[in-house]
Amino acid sequence: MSGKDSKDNVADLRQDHARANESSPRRIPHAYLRKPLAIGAVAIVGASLLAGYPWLFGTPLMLQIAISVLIYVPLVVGQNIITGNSGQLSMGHAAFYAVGAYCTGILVTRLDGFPALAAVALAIVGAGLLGLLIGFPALRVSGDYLFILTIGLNLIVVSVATQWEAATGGARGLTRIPLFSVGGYEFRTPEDFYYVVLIAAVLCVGVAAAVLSSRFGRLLEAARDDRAAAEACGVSITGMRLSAFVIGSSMAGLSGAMFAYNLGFVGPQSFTLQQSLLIFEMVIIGGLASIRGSILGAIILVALPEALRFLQDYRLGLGGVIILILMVWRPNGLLGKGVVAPLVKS
Amino acid sequence: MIPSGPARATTAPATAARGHLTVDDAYVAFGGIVALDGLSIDVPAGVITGVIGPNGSGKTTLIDVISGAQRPGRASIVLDGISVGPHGARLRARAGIARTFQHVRLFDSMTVLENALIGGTRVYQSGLTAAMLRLPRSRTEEARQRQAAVDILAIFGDRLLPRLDHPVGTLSYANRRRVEIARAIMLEPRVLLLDEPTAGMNPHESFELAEQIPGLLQRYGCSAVLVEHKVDIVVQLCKEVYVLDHGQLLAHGNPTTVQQDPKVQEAFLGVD
Amino acid sequence: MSEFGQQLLNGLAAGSIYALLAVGYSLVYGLLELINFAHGHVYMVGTFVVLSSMLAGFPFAFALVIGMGFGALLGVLIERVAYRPFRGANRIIPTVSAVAVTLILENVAAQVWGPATRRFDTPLPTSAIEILGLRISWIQVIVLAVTAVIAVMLYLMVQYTSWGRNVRAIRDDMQSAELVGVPVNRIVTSVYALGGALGVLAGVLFAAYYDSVYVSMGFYGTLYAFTAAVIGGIGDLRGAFIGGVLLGIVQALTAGYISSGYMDAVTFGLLIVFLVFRPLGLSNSGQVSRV
Repeated sequence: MSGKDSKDNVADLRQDHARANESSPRRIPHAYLRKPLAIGAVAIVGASLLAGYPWLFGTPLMLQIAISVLIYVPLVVGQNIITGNSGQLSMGHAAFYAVGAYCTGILVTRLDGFPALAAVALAIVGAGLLGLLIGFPALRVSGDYLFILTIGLNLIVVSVATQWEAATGGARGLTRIPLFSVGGYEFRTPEDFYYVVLIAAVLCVGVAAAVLSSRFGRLLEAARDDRAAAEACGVSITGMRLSAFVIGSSMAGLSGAMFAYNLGFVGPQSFTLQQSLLIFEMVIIGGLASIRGSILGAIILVALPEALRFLQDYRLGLGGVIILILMVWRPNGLLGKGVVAPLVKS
Repeated sequence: MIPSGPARATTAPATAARGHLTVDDAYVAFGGIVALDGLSIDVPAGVITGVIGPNGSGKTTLIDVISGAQRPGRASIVLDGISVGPHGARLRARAGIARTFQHVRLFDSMTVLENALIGGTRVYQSGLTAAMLRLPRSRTEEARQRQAAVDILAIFGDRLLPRLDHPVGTLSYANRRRVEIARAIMLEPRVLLLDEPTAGMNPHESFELAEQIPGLLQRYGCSAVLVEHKVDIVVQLCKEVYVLDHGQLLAHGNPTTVQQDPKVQEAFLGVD
Repeated sequence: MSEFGQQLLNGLAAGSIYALLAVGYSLVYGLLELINFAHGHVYMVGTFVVLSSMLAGFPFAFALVIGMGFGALLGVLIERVAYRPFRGANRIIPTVSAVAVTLILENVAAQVWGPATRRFDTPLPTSAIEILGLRISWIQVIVLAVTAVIAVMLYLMVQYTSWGRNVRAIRDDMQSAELVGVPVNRIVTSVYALGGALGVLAGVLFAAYYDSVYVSMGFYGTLYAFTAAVIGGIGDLRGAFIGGVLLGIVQALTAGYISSGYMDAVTFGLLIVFLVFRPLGLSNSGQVSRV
């Protein structure tokens, strides 16, 4: 980060700042809002690409990849808020994913004509509630232990989903989930559904950006960086940690709903520990505490294996190798910011 | 009811003195070691009170007990007439007890300005949801907070102002200390606890900081508890000094008298 | 009553296997306050190595030794590559490294031995005997006997050998131990080697008991070991044994009286309850890592 031009006169510096403050009272010294013109240009190009994607890359495969990436985005962004911005080593994210998917699935298969938007909203709330629930024990437990505790949660959810046939359809799952529809219009084709997940992902990213670049985001990271110092400033560690869990898990709930509508089917096999690991990998590789990193991580770990089909079987192990290399060279991940101090070589 | 500070205009003149702090019969023991043994001190409003003593005499423990970082076996702590004893560190900060740490504790992933802004938590009126939604009231308050932070950082001359956007990890130790102090002042505290603020600074920097401290305190009329090893600074800044030894009060009075006390000289034998 | 007794016995046997696994795990944790997340994967790969050795024609005892040696080596390698370089760093890093290692091991194992469950034929006797209305299989007897022997051996080693003294010194305070001249790196290496070898032994017993070995027993291995260790008091070797046995019994009772499908839910429900309400374990003697 570059500093201001050094000036000897203190008063001048203060005036500069006051002037800057007047013209853009929302000026936020985060890297990604730095150069307005460049950002504007990229945004326009990016938005056009996203909007026109189905025409530009219309093959079924490319569409499926895009939809897959867009379903992962809220998952990864949410996980990153919990682990990156809030510093809590949470691993069982697929548990929240599952709750979102099953909430949607159960509602729309049990209640004829249940509105899709309401199902999505309830999926978000349901997953958020589980996040709140797990947030409390998470407060009392340290880093490594939290890791295992959340894995345990993941396995409990899968176990219950597999056993509780009456509610979840057991191992066979819930089938015949109707198409996503709003006000009578059914999103039949993949091209149609692409826009649904796109809007969901964009909304999620927007919310995340607003939240993280606000005062709340600062306090969240303060609580992560130094708990004692944060408390000495009046920050509620409990409040920050719980909020992170609720926000992160709610986003997973959104992904769950999208997943259910995309596949038309919800089964426990999709929410195993493997899934949590994949989401975690996306955060680690893409970059801690970075929304762009989350998106990048999702793209890399979904699109790349598709592109390098011949490596499909080694996807898991290669991810592991990449992560090991990153831990030495760039522990914050590709686009991550300052969460983990650079390694001190012993 | 914990009183929280009202939001102030950024160019507030010196305000009425506050921060009368009374610690009564503080007792802390770790395992078999007694760190504080029924210690009592009285910090008058608007005044800098010194706490000195050899290593291990309990100075930092005292600060920790006041700020809430350390649960005492027993202690009565009263700030401006309100008992803060039952409350934890966070609520004590909200009540107006600000502090710095013996080894500087900053938020290393953030810049100088961002670190200072965290200190504004106590005084913020609009809620976090308003902040997330960027409501106008929240935005104006953010701007005011930034201006307040810059004004406070400006007290340190051009040490920090050219570096507002620098990550604090890149700063010199002395500058990190200054950021920590600025962050504490942002709380608009009633009492500021300074734990060896000049540790790690050279004599020139120490002297400079000593000159700046009274001005910082006058800004919000707060009192201060200054733990220090450097005797000349204590003499310069403090009207009253408490001398600790092995968790107990050894002597107390104005710095010159205390220095001449034979008990004090004996305790410090071989030390500074 | 004899039904209950039978379940109890089954749980005891299965639990002893968990106990062995938990001990290796607890040894490392007690020493370095590090959750060796790759522990279960070492146990899994080592067991597969024993399988392959047997299929290649080696007699069982031989194959077992090969496997245990492999487990020891793998444990040491993992420590060098994924943990030691990051010893001073922020907790996230070694944890993530461990996860990375498990991914690599899991992938390799799946490629080499396939994702399906394989049978695990051993020359161990499969018959059973009847005592007091309870049916005890010879394998169960062997499992209990081996575990008991190892338990005693470990206890004696930790309490009465110079190696054990060094381990305890490091556990109390690594820096002081170093200053006093304890060869920390060598001891740490030996602990990982021991943990790895014991893990494979546990794995082989598990595979023989259930006549199956499969790739995902890796993750489960780690999780069960951790759960057992937490229940008993993590870092405490006796606690690891007790925790393992208790876990086995709870699982058997769940499978017998509720449904085997809910075993996971109960196991990890127990884990969460202990972590939150009794982090020091039943014996209240575990180590808690700083929040």
